[in-house]
Amino acid sequence: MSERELTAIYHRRIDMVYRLCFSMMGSRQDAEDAAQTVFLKLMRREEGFADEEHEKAFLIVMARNQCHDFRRQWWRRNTKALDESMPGGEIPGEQGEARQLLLKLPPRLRILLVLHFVEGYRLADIAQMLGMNLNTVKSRLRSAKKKLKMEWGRQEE
Amino acid sequence: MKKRELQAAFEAITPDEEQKGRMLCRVLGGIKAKRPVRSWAFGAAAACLALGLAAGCLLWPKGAEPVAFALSLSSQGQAVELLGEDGRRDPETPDAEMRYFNARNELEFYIEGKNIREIELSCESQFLYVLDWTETQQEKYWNWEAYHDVDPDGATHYRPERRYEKACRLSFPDGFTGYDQIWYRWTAYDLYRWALEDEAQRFRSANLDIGALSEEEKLKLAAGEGSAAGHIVLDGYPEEKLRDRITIRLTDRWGNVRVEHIDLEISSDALGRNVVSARLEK
Repeated sequence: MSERELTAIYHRRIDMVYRLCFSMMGSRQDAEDAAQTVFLKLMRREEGFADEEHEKAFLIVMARNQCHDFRRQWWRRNTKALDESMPGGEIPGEQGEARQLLLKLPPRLRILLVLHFVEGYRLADIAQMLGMNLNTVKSRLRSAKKKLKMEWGRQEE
Repeated sequence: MKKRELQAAFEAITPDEEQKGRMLCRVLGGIKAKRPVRSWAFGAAAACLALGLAAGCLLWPKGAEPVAFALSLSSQGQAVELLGEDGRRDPETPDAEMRYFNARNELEFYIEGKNIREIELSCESQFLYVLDWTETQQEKYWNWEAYHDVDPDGATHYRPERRYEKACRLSFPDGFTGYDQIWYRWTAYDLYRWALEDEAQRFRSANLDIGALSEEEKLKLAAGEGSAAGHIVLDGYPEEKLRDRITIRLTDRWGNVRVEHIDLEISSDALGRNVVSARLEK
């Protein structure tokens, strides 16, 4: 893939890839690392994409796998606590509170929320893309919503 | 939490323009470091694109200085500094070379520096692992969680820091200073596994009857004096795997990259002791 093609895809998809990475990694620095690694790996891909949906799905799977790899690296545990103190790491107001709530969920649930509610994927598509059973996707999403509701209620009290 | 609030929360974690620019510079910088020189046929278009990108990258804060870091090798309790704090070679060790007997066939090294954002290490024939001393060592003994890693699916891995890797990457947050508390160990794990085959017969003195030795011989053996006991017989091991190269790639907080290589070779001396030679590539 040429730099020109890569740059075009980067501008089209960086928001989505970063959001996914952030949702799985939970920190800005790790999300940046994972997102840029996804695009570096994309460069090695020789064949093109059938259409935009194919491109999007490919990047989602790459981002998920990259984050899994990163999360297995023990030293990333050391960076998380410090990351929140980074300049720009805080999001003020209600959105910041909502993000804190989201971060209380495990990464495997957060990625489903992003794909379903932000990227607008149907549950069946998510299951196919991530190689999961549809019922697992459904039950995890239910569990995510339940946990969010509980946490939200706790915060409202 | 309503759907709208959920969407707003996720949209709030969209990267800002500075982040996007920074990541793009790193992606394109990484590609340039890996790619061979382009052909002239593609050169003109590439040059235009590169100029545009370079102009874009200049908008992001970037230091002009190359990454400065000190690199020290350590063996048998002694550290040899190959690169000083300014990243230059120590005048007292101009060859930047080290040779030592080592039955374990290992090389330990550590890096000192400031503002290093990322350290990437890789080797070709053998393996690497990383020892983190930034947590107190004692904690690793009494705190179960400090020595275990639970992945997102709930599986538990023991002592992840001892995992052998061909390549690894460490990222450091702003304000991190404990670079020297992380030790990198190259180890000929492949050779070791090979030597263990056939009931470890490839280790010298594998069948030694300790009981038959005199006290003096036992003391000599324990002290390793003139003995190759415990060292590996290298005959029959693939020759190309006796040589290895560690690539150290450092990126500072401004995106400057520096790459150094340590060439390694395992051999045997006249007594059959394993000798590890390490040399920083000129």
